[in-house]
Amino acid sequence: MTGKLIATAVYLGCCFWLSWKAWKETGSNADYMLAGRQAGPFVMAMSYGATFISTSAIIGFGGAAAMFGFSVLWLTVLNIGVGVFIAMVFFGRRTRRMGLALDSHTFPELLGRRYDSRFIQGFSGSIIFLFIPVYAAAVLIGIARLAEVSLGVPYVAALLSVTAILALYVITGGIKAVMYTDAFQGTLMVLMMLMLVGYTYWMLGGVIPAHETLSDMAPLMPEKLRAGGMLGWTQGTVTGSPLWLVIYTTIVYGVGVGVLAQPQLAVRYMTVPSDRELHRAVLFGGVFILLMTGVAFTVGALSNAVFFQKFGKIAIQMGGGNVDKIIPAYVETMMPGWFSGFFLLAMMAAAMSTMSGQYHTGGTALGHDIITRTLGRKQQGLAANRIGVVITILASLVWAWVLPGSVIARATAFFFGLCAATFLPAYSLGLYWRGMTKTGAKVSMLGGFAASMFWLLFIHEKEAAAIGLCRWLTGKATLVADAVPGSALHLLQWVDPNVVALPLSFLLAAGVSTATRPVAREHLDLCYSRC
Amino acid sequence: MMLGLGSLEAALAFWLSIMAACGCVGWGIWNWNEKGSSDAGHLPRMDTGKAGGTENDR
Repeated sequence: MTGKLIATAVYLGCCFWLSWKAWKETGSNADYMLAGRQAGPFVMAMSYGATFISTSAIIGFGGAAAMFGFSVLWLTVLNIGVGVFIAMVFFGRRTRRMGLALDSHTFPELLGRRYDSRFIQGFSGSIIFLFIPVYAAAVLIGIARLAEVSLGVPYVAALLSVTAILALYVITGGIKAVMYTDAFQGTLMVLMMLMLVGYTYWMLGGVIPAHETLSDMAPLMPEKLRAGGMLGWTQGTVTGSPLWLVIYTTIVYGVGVGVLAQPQLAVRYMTVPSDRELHRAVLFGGVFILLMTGVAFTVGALSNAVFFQKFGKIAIQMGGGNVDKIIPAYVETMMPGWFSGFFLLAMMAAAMSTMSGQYHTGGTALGHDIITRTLGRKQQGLAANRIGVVITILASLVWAWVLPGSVIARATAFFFGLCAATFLPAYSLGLYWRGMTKTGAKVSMLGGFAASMFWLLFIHEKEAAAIGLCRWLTGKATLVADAVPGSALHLLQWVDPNVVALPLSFLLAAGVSTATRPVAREHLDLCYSRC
Repeated sequence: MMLGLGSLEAALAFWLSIMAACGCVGWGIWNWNEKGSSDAGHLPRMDTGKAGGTENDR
């Protein structure tokens, strides 16, 4: 325990030193929001990756992989192919260039200026400010659960102390502090994940023996999961079954595609001085994501085999029925004692790097996009951003307090899905299609958001049943609860909102844009002047 | 090729994850010095231009 505390103190000392360095270099609002647009490729890539990957990905989705097995690795394929390659090459370059041409400092500001609309900037900022705390809360829960298991710290004390540490350096140092600490934290995460996967395969006798051991355990798959369509941890799922829908529509598609419209990631494209840094970031980012989600999902699935050999129990039993406790329990019971201390630091790093980005994005959405730009209080500037960060932090803490157990992966998927349905068509078409109009963007954003929320509140069983609005209004948990079991209508309650909301949002964007007044040619020339 | 995994679904995901990362490494190396149009020295001022839209569409 003493070793863990000393290592934690050294780690926090490094973070604060980097934050102090950033604070000294942060003199203007542009520094606070975009690091003066002079970030290097390694810092940018590690910051992007470390913000993208959090305790949510490692503990939440790692726990999901312990339930659903190797199928979850499809999310890693999308994380790298879409979240790194397509994001950097097709979105990053245009975002950086258009952001520069339009002098945009935040994601909502980019959208607002592309369509010459204060409403779009204000609406985007409001959605981000209102909902990013839910995602931040999921990350906070992950690190608090790990501290609870690993250090024996009470859950609430862990929530408060992690929040206080982060608040200090995000409020003072802005995005430079966020990115410097991200790069340091990302490096630490890489080392720990390499050790985690190496040791796990070593315990099971190598790569192929490990996979074969897990394949042979298929008969041990819990009855409830089998009834949902699971065949085994390496055997996959029955196509079209409820769990197949959960894995491929919510986890793989929802999160895998949703990453493209994540405001806290998109803003990082605008921090680099040229395209070269983005190309190089593809290299660092691809490897980084493989070592993060690829390792977490592989180890999560294999934890069943390791636990069973040692304790005669599968992972979900070791986690006491809580998916979010599986990875912490695995590290604490199966890895060497010294490792759990370092892993705790790596997870603290993962959580802090993501949360700092979330707090910064939520804060600037309120301070810059809503107060300064939409409401026209220009004199507020840096102070408004810092107040925004404080409010975002407090909102995240409240959410972390009230959200139920086993929620990390779902809360993350919720935010990714909501961002995709609301922003992705207006953002992607705005980058590439001159014919995309202001009205098309507005209708797409409002329609995508409304469709996503409707599906969450009235169709998707997990959220609809938990929130209870559908039951209160109709007396049923979901609108399709009465459908014939096994019918297509009945299966809709396991289909992610994005399967419906995102295509609808794209259709609205394209359809309305072709029928409405185009954006003025001079403005379009300005938007695409550097593209 | 299956590496002891029990389905093509799992084995394909395993291999594609690794291949996707290798593809990113290849892209990064191939375009290592591809700078695009340099923007250094052309940074616009923070508070110039339109403040998130000029039309009365709030």
